[in-house]
Amino acid sequence: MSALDERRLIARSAAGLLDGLGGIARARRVRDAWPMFDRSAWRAMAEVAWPGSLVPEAQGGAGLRLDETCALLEAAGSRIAPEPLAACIAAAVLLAHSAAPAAKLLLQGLLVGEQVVVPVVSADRLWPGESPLDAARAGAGVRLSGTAPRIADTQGASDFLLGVVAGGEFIVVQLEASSRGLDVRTSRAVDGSSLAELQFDGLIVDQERILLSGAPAGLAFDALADGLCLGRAAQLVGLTGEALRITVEYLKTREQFGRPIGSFQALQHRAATMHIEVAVSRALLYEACSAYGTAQQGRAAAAAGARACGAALRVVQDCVQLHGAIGFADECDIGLFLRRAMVLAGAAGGEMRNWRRYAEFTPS
Amino acid sequence: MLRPESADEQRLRREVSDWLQANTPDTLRQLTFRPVPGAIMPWYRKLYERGWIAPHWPREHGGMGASPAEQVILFEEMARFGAPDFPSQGINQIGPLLIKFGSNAQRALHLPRILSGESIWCQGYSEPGAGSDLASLRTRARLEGAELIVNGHKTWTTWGQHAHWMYALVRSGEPGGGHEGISFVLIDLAAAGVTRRPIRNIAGDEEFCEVLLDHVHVPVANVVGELGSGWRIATALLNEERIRIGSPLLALKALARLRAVARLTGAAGESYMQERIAHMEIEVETLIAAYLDALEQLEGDGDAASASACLKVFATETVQRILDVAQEAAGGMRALLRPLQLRAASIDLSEMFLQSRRLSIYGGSNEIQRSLIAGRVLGLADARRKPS
Repeated sequence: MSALDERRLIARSAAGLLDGLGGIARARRVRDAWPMFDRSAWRAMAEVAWPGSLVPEAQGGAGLRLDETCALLEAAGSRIAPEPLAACIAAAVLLAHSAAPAAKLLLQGLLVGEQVVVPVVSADRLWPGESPLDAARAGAGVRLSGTAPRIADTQGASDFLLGVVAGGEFIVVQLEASSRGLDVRTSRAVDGSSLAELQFDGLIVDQERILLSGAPAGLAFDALADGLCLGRAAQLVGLTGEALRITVEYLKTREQFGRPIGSFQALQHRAATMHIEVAVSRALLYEACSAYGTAQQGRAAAAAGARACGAALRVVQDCVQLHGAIGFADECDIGLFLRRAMVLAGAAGGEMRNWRRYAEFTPS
Repeated sequence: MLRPESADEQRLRREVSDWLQANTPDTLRQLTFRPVPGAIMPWYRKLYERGWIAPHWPREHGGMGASPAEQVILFEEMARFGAPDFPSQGINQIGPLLIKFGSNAQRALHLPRILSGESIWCQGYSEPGAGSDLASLRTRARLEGAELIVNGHKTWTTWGQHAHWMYALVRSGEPGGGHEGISFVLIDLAAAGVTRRPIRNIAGDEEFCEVLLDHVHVPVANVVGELGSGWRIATALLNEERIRIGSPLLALKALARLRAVARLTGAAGESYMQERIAHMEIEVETLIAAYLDALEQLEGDGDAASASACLKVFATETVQRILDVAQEAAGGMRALLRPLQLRAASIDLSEMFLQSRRLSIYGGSNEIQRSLIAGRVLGLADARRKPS
């Protein structure tokens, strides 16, 4: 079986599982019930080792390749799965690299679907007037104060992974969401997911919760950030492809002026342009996967992120347009795709920030 | 290319770079127009002697048998170096077609001369009245004994005035027969009755011409395949043609031009331009990924028609978008007619941009490609067909 065939198989089976859990109707239900985390769905995903997709089998994961994991995430995007799957998959990889007992415990909890671990990774800066995150050594632990950059897609988070410089050294720490001295301010996003702002007021992180430190911490956190970008790009590509598929079906069935509206050339050409966007964005995603773990990793992630964000928002907005008035009604599913695309694009950094990030890799 | 390169691939990259350095005169670097035969064919021949003239041909027919990644490496190094465009109708169009459909005699006569550059080829498809609607072509070929007598008028024939041979679609069947009755023929342009008239394009270059055929005698041995099977033969290789047009080579060259112009004018130091350049670089990486994917689909049993049409549109429009940004980087000097001479270097600011307008028109216009994608890939019915 070729790599493409393997990805197709994984995507099909993942889509099947998600349809069994309720498909897009489930996404709508979760959206309307914010703050709601579908625990039974999360456990069902854990049962088939989705959070542990990239963790080696010897450590309890599924041992998939990165491209296979992206195929899985494409399927998750296509069904607008409301779980922060990319975040947890990326977190699991970092946890599997840490020798700290707390990391092993947290990984176990994640793999069985009891815990939800979200890395604090953002392309954003703090907004003007906000006090930056300060991390100071406090004995063997670390004291945190200030604000972390806002993060998207945080629903259900039981723990966060934070990378920070303390005492001149980069460390990665585990933060339990319920910690004293940590205020997790959660806001409702348009798709029913959560946006979180982490405010620290003298929170002390014990030595036990320092999962990685020094150079390995920096490498692991960079790899996590790049992998997370690719994972969100994958969800965006899958979401966009499905939105287009639904729209093309609509073009074939909706009739006006005595014929299917898909027979009008203006709409045919628009749909063709959208198809091209999805196809090339998907090609770049998997090419970027092959650069993971090499010197091109960051550049590749920025490229795939930029393209996926831009293509998703352009194409899904066109999908709304091609539905005509019904596309603008909440009862039509296409709006759910736009809402989730907004969240995932925000989480992935957006098109323009990723251009900026890419530019930083280019020698001037 | 984003994917990691093997040791062999890295070695190839160095070899290509070294060879270009050692074998390409400065007069052939960073050009916009295809240089005239006298200037380019000696270099073409050297590339042939090195074995690199036909990366995508199979080895048994004199090609490199290069993998998709190796082809991209060749393109990247050529673009980085500013290597010239060379005539490709032989290598990219008629060569692969003869490999697939030609008789042994046709292959034996023409393939070696295409590779060595001894024969330059042009395409005789479009006519004044038959562009996108090529099947409506009217150039007539009347069978008389062992010859076809050809009368008609071909146009937009790239390098027709420099070519030795033209492969053409002619109507050997009844007039008005559409796809039926079209034959694929090879015409020796030295034959009596052939007149060529150059056409000046929007960039001021006379790169193509009209070819007038007045009772030109074409031996039946120069028919490829059967009489009347011309349309089937020409369309059989359409996917490959689109993929060649969709190769990243031109986009890589356009990107190199953009960077050079931005450096020249100082726009490269401004953040608004850095982000646009980053965007264009991402589009080129996207194109490379799509190209590699399309080649893999072509070699496997994937959907080559879809991949090739998408690639043609994306590649050509990406080149145009890159050159839009290059124009912005050139600022007030973007309309300078002649290349700017600066110290030892010469840099064109307007020609490549004007030349690029043809990319979305030729090889099946991008509107035709979109209609193809909508019809065959997305299954959207043609409005011309009767509604149910």
